[in-house]
Amino acid sequence: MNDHLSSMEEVLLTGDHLSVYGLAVCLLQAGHKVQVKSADPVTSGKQIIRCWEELPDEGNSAGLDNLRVVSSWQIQSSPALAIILSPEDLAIKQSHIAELEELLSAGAVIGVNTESFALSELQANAAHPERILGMNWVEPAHSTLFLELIRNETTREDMTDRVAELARQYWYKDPYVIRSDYGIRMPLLAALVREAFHLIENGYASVEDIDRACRNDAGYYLTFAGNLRYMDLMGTNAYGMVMKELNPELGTESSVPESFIKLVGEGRTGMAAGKGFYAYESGEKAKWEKLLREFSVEIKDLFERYPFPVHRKTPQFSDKG
Amino acid sequence: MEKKLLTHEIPVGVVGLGLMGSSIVAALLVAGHPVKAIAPVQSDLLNIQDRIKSQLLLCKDAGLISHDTHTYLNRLDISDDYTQLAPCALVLECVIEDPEIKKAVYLKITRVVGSDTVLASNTSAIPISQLQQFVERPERFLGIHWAEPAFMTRFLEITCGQQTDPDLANRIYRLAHHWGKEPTLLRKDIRGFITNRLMYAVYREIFSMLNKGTATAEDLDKSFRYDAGSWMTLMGVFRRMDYLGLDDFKTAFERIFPRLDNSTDVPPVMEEIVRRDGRGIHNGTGLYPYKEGEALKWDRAFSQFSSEIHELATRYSADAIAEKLK
Repeated sequence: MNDHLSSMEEVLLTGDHLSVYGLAVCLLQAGHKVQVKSADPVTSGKQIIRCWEELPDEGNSAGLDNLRVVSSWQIQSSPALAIILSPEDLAIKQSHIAELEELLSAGAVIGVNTESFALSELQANAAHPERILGMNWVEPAHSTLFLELIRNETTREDMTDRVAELARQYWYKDPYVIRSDYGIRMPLLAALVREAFHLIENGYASVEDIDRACRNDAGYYLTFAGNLRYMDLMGTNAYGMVMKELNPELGTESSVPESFIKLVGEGRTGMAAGKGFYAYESGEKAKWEKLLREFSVEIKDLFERYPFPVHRKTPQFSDKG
Repeated sequence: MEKKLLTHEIPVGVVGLGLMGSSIVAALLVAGHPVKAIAPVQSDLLNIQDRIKSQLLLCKDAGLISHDTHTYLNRLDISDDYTQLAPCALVLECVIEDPEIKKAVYLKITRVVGSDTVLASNTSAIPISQLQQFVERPERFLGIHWAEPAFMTRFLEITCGQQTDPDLANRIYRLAHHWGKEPTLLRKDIRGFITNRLMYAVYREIFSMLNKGTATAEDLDKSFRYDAGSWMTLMGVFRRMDYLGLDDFKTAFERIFPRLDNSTDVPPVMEEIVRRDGRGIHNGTGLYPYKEGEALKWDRAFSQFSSEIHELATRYSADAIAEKLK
């Protein structure tokens, strides 16, 4: 793949994660041919087209000609890259990897999302573990700059570098590479959620209180430049002084609360189920999806202009013949 | 004060007119309250009328108020005389974070106000349970914590101390909705309240990763900024998890929680910054290096960003979101 990992290559996309649709649009915008494997190709195809049609610069439908949504792979060329976006389940991820290894040449890259499983666990039974790397996204994947690449000692460095370059050049991402078996994104979020659970379980706050606090405090600065920079903007030493008092009192729970296990056990698994931490009316999930996509376009504009304007290559559909 | 919640019938006192205090005065005027502003130190009186007027003009520009500024300024009395506070139903203390000074201020307030006047502190550092010990009838004391600029942000944390009357906290919570806020009510007092604790938990993990060399400062800032920063103005963390599906989070958290950092110490890099009195961009010593003149660029960019994110966040307020979801 070393010589031909470019935006003109076909990319295989598989898995049942919500972000598959946005990622398909992201790759189509970059000029890739995209083949999406889905158990329900009609529904998946509709979702991708809906994302595509909501693009602010929609109007060129040529990109959609490069999309194929299939129920079983139709391999004609030799794809250089396959991306797995599956639920957080080791066996499912391994079975996707095994299936792709049957199709792909030894030089093709396999990127797999993983929040908590070690990359080495995913590589364990692979014929070519050196071409497997961790790739984590943020929903909606076509309008967010986030891409976490995870590579360990087994992963080929040149492959990681090429994917990072491709992402920077064509996918409208600003990736970072973690040289470890685990990513950093989910532990950071988990640290926040653990403290939120701590406050709720001890009767200090409700789910609604936590969400309001997130939106109305961090929601006013996080987009600007990240946490460490924010401390510098506000006066770094003050944070050190607060840590002295506060760090000894922060939650240290090593397990999730029973109430959360019960919630999921009862099938209250979130918007798709109509209930989770909150209750949802029928049709509300689709409204949230639309709302998030609208909001993402607006926040993306701030990401581009702050802290200082960045000139990223805007995907050009017309690049393709 | 809670019967009809007509703000123009509820006089509110503000004691302490520094950066935060004057901004709170403007917020209360915008909300329609008559305001008695008390300056405990003479320097607070310097240009105070002009400062509040310029804040009201900002509100006017932002479309937060419909009348001319004098309509609001007519409802404002500025003084160094505590007896002005006599008619107030609520008095907010915004003086420096020194328990002894606060104690003296509370004594001056309680001497002149009625026994059912509610007292509140804007503290972000001292537990409410500690401060309320200084007040006669401590059940009427609570924390009302604002974010700067108070007349713009929808942030407000209302905190009960151990002895605070919960009904009273609920009444203030309802009143705060008339201030254009989306208030959070902390039923029990805890150091750092909600937002500080959530973010300090993230900082602890960030510094652990920095220390182990797992990621660079730039990687860590990118990670949280591009992930949480892309949705947190719209959704809180629990709404976000509902959106993405809780099964995956359960699996991930069960595996990650045991690996999270639990250290209680100040991270060495932060200890060093405290030792060197590093104030970040304000004196060029912080977590990132700053060249000559660079700090000013950061400061300007952040100030410009703040006004833009306020505008965006206002269009995605809780009420606006409810309307969009109809």
